[in-house]
Amino acid sequence: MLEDEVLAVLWTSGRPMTPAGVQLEFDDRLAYTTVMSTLTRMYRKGLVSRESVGKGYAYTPTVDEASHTAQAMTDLLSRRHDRAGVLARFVSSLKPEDEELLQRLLRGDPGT
Amino acid sequence: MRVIVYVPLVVSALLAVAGPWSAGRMPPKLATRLLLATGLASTVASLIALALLTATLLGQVPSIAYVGAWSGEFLHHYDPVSPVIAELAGTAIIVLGVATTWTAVRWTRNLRRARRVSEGLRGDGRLVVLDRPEPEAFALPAGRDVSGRIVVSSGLLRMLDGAERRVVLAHEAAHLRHRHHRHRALAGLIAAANPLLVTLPAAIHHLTERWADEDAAAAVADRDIAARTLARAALATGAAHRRSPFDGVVQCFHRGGVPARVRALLTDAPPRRPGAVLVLAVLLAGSLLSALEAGHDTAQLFDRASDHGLDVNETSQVR
Repeated sequence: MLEDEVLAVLWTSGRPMTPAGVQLEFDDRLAYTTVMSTLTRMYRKGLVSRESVGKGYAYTPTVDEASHTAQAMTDLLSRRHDRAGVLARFVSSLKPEDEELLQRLLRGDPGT
Repeated sequence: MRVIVYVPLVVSALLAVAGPWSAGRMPPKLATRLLLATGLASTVASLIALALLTATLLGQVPSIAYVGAWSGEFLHHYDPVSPVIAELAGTAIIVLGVATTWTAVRWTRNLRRARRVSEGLRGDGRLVVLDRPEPEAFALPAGRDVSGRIVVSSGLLRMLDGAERRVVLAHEAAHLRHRHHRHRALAGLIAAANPLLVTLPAAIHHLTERWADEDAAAAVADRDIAARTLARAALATGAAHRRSPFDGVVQCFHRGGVPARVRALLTDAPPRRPGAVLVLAVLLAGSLLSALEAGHDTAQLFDRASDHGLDVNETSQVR
């Protein structure tokens, strides 16, 4: 989904971004008007905030300042059963020998 | 009846061995579905077998024989099942029933808790970014008509480039779209009802991860980038957990894990091996047919006991 990708880009930059700046991050895969309308939609949903810069706006992702959100996530993740049954995590932790193997795979060495 | 009733149990044991072997020889999406279907069939067949074994003993109880209008005496003499085995089978049904119910209750409770957290998150966007340095990403499933949430930490986003970020988002989106939490729940229920398939949940967990990996690789049209993202995220997560006091709580509890997934992405998309598919199909058919046949045999036994019951208890018949 486009909104997810735009939000991810805004988070990565760490400072307010103009639509042109966001478009640049997409390597011109997106039309300027698409980026523009996506950001406007996200602003209306409250996912991003904006400030005037020159003739247009610069956008920042809205931070969920409620600490209970982070606490709720930590609780969810620290329950073994919950994580195994309901949450689908991208990666789980590694054994030391796995780390070595991954380092090798990253370097392009197929290993054993 | 003497032999055929035990076939579903043997099939379950065979599946525990042949299942992982076959699953590694076909695309993860097919493997997930076929493994779950075979596991479910052999479990239902095994439960039927246990019920049939118990039935011959229950049929001898005078009051039950009276209501059923068959001869308990006849069953007692011609029952091919020893009372000890019948009693064991009956006990097993009760224990497995309790275990399965408990698993279902626990899963429902966990899902409800995850939904509450999901509803507590602000906005209605699908992606939620946690402003935390340690790399983290997971999918939070939601209700029937609500899309779930993808939760990613800002720490993970910042260490990845554009294509790698798309891999993570596509991977988690695949979990939500295909409702992988349901596949995992079914695997848990099957294992609770059929202890022979104790390794099934870990296998399904791994297969659904592989399934999401394949979707993510297709989304960026580059298997190498998907493999690299996975390896980099895993290494960063490993480094973060070593510093974290939660080490030990956050565990990888299935064999294979991330290195196997990275390796699979670095090779071509897995082809479908007809032999492996056939093995699972045969096990599936075998468990269903044997349960059917054993049921048929038991029905015949009770039929004959009924005929006998009419002769002997003619005067005490209800009808």
